[in-house]
Amino acid sequence: MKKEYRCGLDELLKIFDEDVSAQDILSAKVLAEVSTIITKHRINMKVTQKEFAEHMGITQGMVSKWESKNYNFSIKALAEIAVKLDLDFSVRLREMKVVCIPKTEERLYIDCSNQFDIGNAFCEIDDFTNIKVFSDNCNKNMKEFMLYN
Amino acid sequence: MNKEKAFELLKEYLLEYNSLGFVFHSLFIKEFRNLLKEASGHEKQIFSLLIKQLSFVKDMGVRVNEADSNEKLKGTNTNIDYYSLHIQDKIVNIRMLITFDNNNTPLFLSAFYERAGKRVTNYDLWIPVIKERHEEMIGE
Repeated sequence: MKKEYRCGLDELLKIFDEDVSAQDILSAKVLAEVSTIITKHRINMKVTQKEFAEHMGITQGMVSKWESKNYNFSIKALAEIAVKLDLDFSVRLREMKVVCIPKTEERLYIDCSNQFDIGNAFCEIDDFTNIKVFSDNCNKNMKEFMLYN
Repeated sequence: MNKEKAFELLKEYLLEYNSLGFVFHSLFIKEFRNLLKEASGHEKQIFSLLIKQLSFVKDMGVRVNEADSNEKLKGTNTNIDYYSLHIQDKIVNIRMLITFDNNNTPLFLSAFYERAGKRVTNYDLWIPVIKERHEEMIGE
Protein backbone atom coordinates (compact mmCIF):
# COMPACT_ATOMS: atom_id res chain seq x y z
CA MET A 1 0.00 0.00 0.00
CA LYS A 2 1.27 3.44 -0.83
CA LYS A 3 1.25 5.48 2.31
CA GLU A 4 1.86 8.81 0.62
CA TYR A 5 -1.67 8.83 -0.80
CA ARG A 6 -3.42 7.61 2.33
CA CYS A 7 -4.80 9.93 5.01
CA GLY A 8 -6.72 9.10 8.18
CA LEU A 9 -9.86 10.42 9.84
CA ASP A 10 -7.85 12.98 11.82
CA GLU A 11 -6.78 14.73 8.64
CA LEU A 12 -10.36 15.05 7.44
CA LEU A 13 -11.65 16.33 10.79
CA LYS A 14 -8.78 18.83 10.97
CA ILE A 15 -10.32 20.69 8.00
CA PHE A 16 -13.23 21.68 10.23
CA ASP A 17 -11.20 22.58 13.28
CA GLU A 18 -11.79 26.33 13.03
CA ASP A 19 -15.40 26.12 11.91
CA VAL A 20 -17.12 23.86 14.42
CA SER A 21 -17.57 24.08 18.17
CA ALA A 22 -17.66 21.25 20.71
CA GLN A 23 -21.48 21.53 20.62
CA ASP A 24 -21.51 21.20 16.82
CA ILE A 25 -19.36 18.06 17.07
CA LEU A 26 -21.53 16.40 19.72
CA SER A 27 -24.78 17.26 17.96
CA ALA A 28 -23.43 15.97 14.63
CA LYS A 29 -22.50 12.71 16.36
CA VAL A 30 -25.96 12.24 17.92
CA LEU A 31 -27.79 13.17 14.70
CA ALA A 32 -25.62 10.70 12.79
CA GLU A 33 -26.38 7.95 15.31
CA VAL A 34 -30.13 8.58 15.14
CA SER A 35 -30.25 8.78 11.33
CA THR A 36 -28.16 5.64 11.00
CA ILE A 37 -30.41 3.64 13.33
CA ILE A 38 -33.59 4.75 11.53
CA THR A 39 -32.12 4.15 8.06
CA LYS A 40 -30.77 0.72 9.01
CA HIS A 41 -34.14 -0.16 10.47
CA ARG A 42 -35.87 0.74 7.19
CA ILE A 43 -33.32 -1.21 5.15
CA ASN A 44 -33.66 -4.25 7.41
CA MET A 45 -37.45 -4.06 7.01
CA LYS A 46 -36.75 -4.28 3.24
CA VAL A 47 -39.12 -1.41 2.48
CA THR A 48 -38.84 1.73 0.38
CA GLN A 49 -38.97 5.18 1.90
CA LYS A 50 -42.57 5.46 0.70
CA GLU A 51 -43.58 2.20 2.41
CA PHE A 52 -41.66 3.18 5.54
CA ALA A 53 -43.45 6.56 5.56
CA GLU A 54 -46.82 4.77 5.43
CA HIS A 55 -45.75 2.51 8.30
CA MET A 56 -44.72 5.53 10.36
CA GLY A 57 -47.74 7.66 9.38
CA ILE A 58 -45.63 10.45 7.91
CA THR A 59 -44.66 11.69 4.43
CA GLN A 60 -41.88 10.25 2.29
CA GLY A 61 -40.27 13.71 2.36
CA MET A 62 -39.99 13.48 6.12
CA VAL A 63 -38.30 10.07 5.89
CA SER A 64 -35.83 11.59 3.43
CA LYS A 65 -35.17 14.45 5.87
CA TRP A 66 -34.57 12.01 8.72
CA GLU A 67 -32.14 9.99 6.63
CA SER A 68 -30.11 12.53 4.76
CA LYS A 69 -30.71 16.10 5.91
CA ASN A 70 -29.85 18.08 9.02
CA TYR A 71 -33.18 17.35 10.67
CA ASN A 72 -33.26 18.44 14.30
CA PHE A 73 -35.25 15.71 16.08
CA SER A 74 -37.17 16.70 19.21
CA ILE A 75 -37.15 14.30 22.13
CA LYS A 76 -40.90 13.82 21.65
CA ALA A 77 -40.38 12.91 17.98
CA LEU A 78 -37.66 10.43 18.89
CA ALA A 79 -39.93 8.83 21.51
CA GLU A 80 -42.67 8.48 18.88
CA ILE A 81 -40.21 6.89 16.43
CA ALA A 82 -38.99 4.51 19.13
CA VAL A 83 -42.54 3.41 19.96
CA LYS A 84 -43.41 2.84 16.29
CA LEU A 85 -40.23 0.87 15.62
CA ASP A 86 -40.25 -0.96 18.95
CA LEU A 87 -36.88 0.48 19.93
CA ASP A 88 -35.55 1.50 23.30
CA PHE A 89 -34.94 5.21 23.66
CA SER A 90 -32.93 7.11 26.21
CA VAL A 91 -30.88 10.27 26.46
CA ARG A 92 -27.71 9.83 28.42
CA LEU A 93 -25.62 12.68 29.71
CA ARG A 94 -22.53 11.13 31.23
CA GLU A 95 -20.08 12.71 33.58
CA MET A 96 -16.53 12.44 32.35
CA LYS A 97 -13.21 12.73 34.02
CA VAL A 98 -9.86 12.70 32.32
CA VAL A 99 -6.87 11.38 34.24
CA CYS A 100 -3.21 11.30 33.31
CA ILE A 101 -0.89 8.54 34.54
CA PRO A 102 2.69 7.59 33.64
CA LYS A 103 2.92 5.40 30.54
CA THR A 104 4.84 2.82 32.49
CA GLU A 105 1.94 2.27 34.93
CA GLU A 106 -0.23 -0.76 34.36
CA ARG A 107 -2.55 -0.07 37.26
CA LEU A 108 -4.74 2.94 37.74
CA TYR A 109 -5.93 4.36 41.06
CA ILE A 110 -9.34 5.90 40.71
CA ASP A 111 -10.38 8.19 43.48
CA CYS A 112 -13.93 8.94 42.47
CA SER A 113 -16.03 6.29 44.17
CA ASN A 114 -19.20 8.32 44.41
CA GLN A 115 -19.09 9.73 40.94
CA PHE A 116 -18.06 6.94 38.63
CA ASP A 117 -19.13 3.33 38.12
CA ILE A 118 -15.59 2.10 38.36
CA GLY A 119 -15.27 2.76 42.06
CA ASN A 120 -12.36 3.66 44.21
CA ALA A 121 -9.53 1.15 43.94
CA PHE A 122 -6.35 0.12 42.28
CA CYS A 123 -7.38 -1.71 39.14
CA GLU A 124 -5.80 -3.39 36.17
CA ILE A 125 -6.24 -0.97 33.30
CA ASP A 126 -7.13 -3.73 30.87
CA ASP A 127 -10.03 -4.83 33.07
CA PHE A 128 -12.06 -1.71 32.44
CA THR A 129 -14.35 -1.47 29.49
CA ASN A 130 -15.59 1.90 30.63
CA ILE A 131 -12.16 3.45 30.57
CA LYS A 132 -11.18 4.71 27.17
CA VAL A 133 -7.65 5.58 26.26
CA PHE A 134 -8.16 9.21 25.42
CA SER A 135 -4.85 10.39 24.06
CA ASP A 136 -1.16 10.57 24.66
CA ASN A 137 -1.02 14.31 24.54
CA CYS A 138 -1.04 15.25 28.22
CA ASN A 139 2.66 14.64 28.44
CA LYS A 140 5.28 12.72 26.49
CA ASN A 141 5.63 10.18 29.27
CA MET A 142 2.01 10.09 30.35
CA LYS A 143 -1.12 8.40 29.04
CA GLU A 144 -4.52 9.91 29.41
CA PHE A 145 -7.82 8.14 30.15
CA MET A 146 -11.37 9.28 29.86
CA LEU A 147 -13.61 7.84 32.56
CA TYR A 148 -17.34 7.64 32.11
CA ASN A 149 -20.03 7.69 34.72
CA MET B 1 -15.89 19.97 27.45
CA ASN B 2 -13.41 21.40 25.01
CA LYS B 3 -13.34 20.77 21.27
CA GLU B 4 -10.48 18.31 21.46
CA LYS B 5 -12.46 16.01 23.77
CA ALA B 6 -15.56 16.33 21.60
CA PHE B 7 -13.50 15.26 18.57
CA GLU B 8 -12.17 12.29 20.55
CA LEU B 9 -15.72 11.20 21.44
CA LEU B 10 -16.75 11.55 17.80
CA LYS B 11 -13.78 9.46 16.64
CA GLU B 12 -14.54 6.86 19.28
CA TYR B 13 -18.08 6.55 17.87
CA LEU B 14 -16.98 6.46 14.22
CA LEU B 15 -14.22 3.93 14.83
CA GLU B 16 -16.31 1.69 17.10
CA TYR B 17 -16.01 -1.95 15.91
CA ASN B 18 -14.18 -0.57 12.92
CA SER B 19 -10.55 -1.01 13.79
CA LEU B 20 -9.49 -0.45 10.20
CA GLY B 21 -11.08 2.99 10.21
CA PHE B 22 -11.56 5.20 7.20
CA VAL B 23 -8.89 5.92 4.61
CA PHE B 24 -8.93 9.05 2.47
CA HIS B 25 -6.89 9.73 -0.66
CA SER B 26 -4.73 12.79 -0.08
CA LEU B 27 -6.44 14.48 -3.06
CA PHE B 28 -9.85 13.75 -1.54
CA ILE B 29 -8.78 15.77 1.52
CA LYS B 30 -7.55 18.57 -0.74
CA GLU B 31 -10.77 18.56 -2.75
CA PHE B 32 -12.91 18.59 0.38
CA ARG B 33 -10.93 21.49 1.80
CA ASN B 34 -11.53 23.45 -1.41
CA LEU B 35 -15.24 22.60 -1.42
CA LEU B 36 -15.48 23.92 2.09
CA LYS B 37 -13.86 27.20 1.09
CA GLU B 38 -16.42 27.60 -1.69
CA ALA B 39 -19.24 26.92 0.75
CA SER B 40 -18.13 29.51 3.26
CA GLY B 41 -20.80 30.06 5.92
CA HIS B 42 -22.16 26.52 5.61
CA GLU B 43 -19.32 24.62 7.25
CA LYS B 44 -21.41 23.44 10.19
CA GLN B 45 -24.13 21.97 7.96
CA ILE B 46 -21.54 20.25 5.79
CA PHE B 47 -19.78 18.87 8.86
CA SER B 48 -22.98 17.42 10.26
CA LEU B 49 -23.96 15.79 6.95
CA LEU B 50 -20.44 14.46 6.43
CA ILE B 51 -20.47 12.81 9.87
CA LYS B 52 -23.84 11.28 9.02
CA GLN B 53 -22.39 9.73 5.85
CA LEU B 54 -19.35 8.43 7.75
CA SER B 55 -21.75 6.86 10.24
CA PHE B 56 -23.71 5.24 7.39
CA VAL B 57 -20.48 3.85 5.94
CA LYS B 58 -19.41 2.55 9.34
CA ASP B 59 -22.72 0.81 10.03
CA MET B 60 -23.86 -0.24 6.56
CA GLY B 61 -20.59 -0.93 4.78
CA VAL B 62 -21.17 -2.10 1.21
CA ARG B 63 -24.92 -1.52 1.64
CA VAL B 64 -24.36 2.23 2.07
CA ASN B 65 -25.96 2.82 -1.34
CA GLU B 66 -29.32 1.83 0.16
CA ALA B 67 -29.42 5.02 2.24
CA ASP B 68 -31.29 8.02 0.86
CA SER B 69 -29.77 9.49 -2.33
CA ASN B 70 -26.62 7.38 -2.21
CA GLU B 71 -25.97 5.11 -5.16
CA LYS B 72 -23.67 2.48 -6.61
CA LEU B 73 -21.94 3.69 -9.77
CA LYS B 74 -22.90 2.05 -13.04
CA GLY B 75 -20.82 1.79 -16.19
CA THR B 76 -17.48 1.60 -14.46
CA ASN B 77 -16.39 -1.37 -16.63
CA THR B 78 -14.84 -3.14 -13.69
CA ASN B 79 -15.92 -5.70 -11.13
CA ILE B 80 -15.01 -3.27 -8.34
CA ASP B 81 -17.96 -1.50 -6.76
CA TYR B 82 -17.73 2.27 -6.50
CA TYR B 83 -20.26 4.26 -4.50
CA SER B 84 -21.49 7.82 -4.60
CA LEU B 85 -22.45 9.38 -1.27
CA HIS B 86 -24.52 12.54 -1.22
CA ILE B 87 -24.12 15.52 1.07
CA GLN B 88 -27.12 17.67 0.33
CA ASP B 89 -29.06 20.39 2.06
CA LYS B 90 -30.66 23.66 0.95
CA ILE B 91 -27.39 25.17 -0.25
CA VAL B 92 -24.96 22.26 -0.19
CA ASN B 93 -24.71 19.61 -2.92
CA ILE B 94 -21.57 17.49 -2.71
CA ARG B 95 -20.81 14.00 -4.00
CA MET B 96 -18.15 11.78 -2.46
CA LEU B 97 -16.96 8.75 -4.44
CA ILE B 98 -15.74 5.80 -2.42
CA THR B 99 -14.96 2.10 -2.61
CA PHE B 100 -14.02 -0.65 -0.15
CA ASP B 101 -10.80 -2.65 -0.08
CA ASN B 102 -10.54 -6.41 0.50
CA ASN B 103 -10.82 -5.90 4.26
CA ASN B 104 -13.97 -3.79 3.77
CA THR B 105 -12.11 -0.65 4.79
CA PRO B 106 -13.78 2.32 3.11
CA LEU B 107 -11.50 4.25 0.76
CA PHE B 108 -12.60 7.82 -0.01
CA LEU B 109 -11.42 8.72 -3.47
CA SER B 110 -12.91 11.98 -4.68
CA ALA B 111 -15.26 14.80 -3.70
CA PHE B 112 -16.93 17.35 -5.96
CA TYR B 113 -19.85 19.74 -6.24
CA GLU B 114 -22.85 18.49 -8.10
CA ARG B 115 -24.39 21.20 -10.24
CA ALA B 116 -27.77 22.41 -9.01
CA GLY B 117 -30.83 21.08 -10.78
CA LYS B 118 -29.18 17.96 -12.16
CA ARG B 119 -31.45 14.99 -11.66
CA VAL B 120 -28.86 12.42 -12.73
CA THR B 121 -25.20 12.88 -11.89
CA ASN B 122 -22.80 12.26 -14.76
CA TYR B 123 -19.87 10.34 -13.39
CA ASP B 124 -18.12 9.77 -16.73
CA LEU B 125 -15.42 12.33 -15.99
CA TRP B 126 -14.85 10.99 -12.50
CA ILE B 127 -14.64 7.26 -13.15
CA PRO B 128 -11.09 7.32 -14.62
CA VAL B 129 -10.01 9.63 -11.79
CA ILE B 130 -11.27 7.37 -9.01
CA LYS B 131 -9.88 4.26 -10.69
CA GLU B 132 -6.45 5.85 -10.83
CA ARG B 133 -6.65 6.99 -7.20
CA HIS B 134 -7.87 3.58 -6.10
CA GLU B 135 -4.82 2.03 -7.78
CA GLU B 136 -2.59 4.55 -6.07
CA MET B 137 -4.03 3.67 -2.68
CA ILE B 138 -3.83 -0.10 -2.97
CA GLY B 139 -0.76 -0.37 -5.21
CA GLU B 140 2.42 -1.95 -3.94
